[in-house]
Amino acid sequence: MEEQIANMDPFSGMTDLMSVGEVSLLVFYLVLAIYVIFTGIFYYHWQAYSTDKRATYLTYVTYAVTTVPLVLMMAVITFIL
Amino acid sequence: MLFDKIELEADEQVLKTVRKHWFVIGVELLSALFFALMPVWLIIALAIFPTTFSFVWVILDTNFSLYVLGSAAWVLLALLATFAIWTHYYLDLWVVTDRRIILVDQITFFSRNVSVFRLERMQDIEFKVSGIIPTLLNFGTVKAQTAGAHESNFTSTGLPDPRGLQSVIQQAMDKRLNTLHAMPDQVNH
Repeated sequence: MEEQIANMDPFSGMTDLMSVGEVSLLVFYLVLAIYVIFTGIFYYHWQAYSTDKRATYLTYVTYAVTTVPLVLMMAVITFIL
Repeated sequence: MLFDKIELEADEQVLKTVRKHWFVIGVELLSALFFALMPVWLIIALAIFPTTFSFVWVILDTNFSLYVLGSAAWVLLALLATFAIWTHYYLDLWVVTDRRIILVDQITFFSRNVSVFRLERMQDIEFKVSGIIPTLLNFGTVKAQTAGAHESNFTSTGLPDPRGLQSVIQQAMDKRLNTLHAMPDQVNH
């Protein structure tokens, strides 16, 4: 049974090539790069094309409050756990 | 800010700024949120059918930190998509002034279309409300036709209170034409 489960584990083949830590690091850097690029584009668009300073401010705050904890959580999992 | 870039003419007044109806953005945001919470739905499904998916629990148990990392990455990317939807909604707008209509169409982050139509060149403006939800929530399509090339026609869907918008544009057009008839030297000013 355990052997069957091990065969079904989608990560079993991957962990032969890379350790879980290396996979975590790769995922983290990839997502971080996407996040940084997106944040730059997002900031530029709202600075350049928004019509309302209050809406822009609220959008920035919501963006930071919802996304930064996730990035920090990913960093903790990658580097500490 | 946008109005600095549009460069309104001297004494030009903004009569109305219109974005798509809240229902349009509401449906899109809820769909994005549903996808963002996919890891949570997965855990709920596993909790409801523990015996059917017992092997998944074993896999999760051995790679739990990787699952949490993947879930966080998934939620983050889904949130970025949600903010992209919000940006396209908010930066997509109609600005009706007492001289022209400015249409800003934010298609994607790197595709933006800004069209300007002078009121004195407008020939016809019509609106269409079609369907149960648009009728109940009062949103629909506004179509305008200008004198000149066929490409000058423009259509926008999901606009709130299309009857009110049509009325504002019609009144502004009439006023503009009266002004131009009284002072013909004001054409294109």
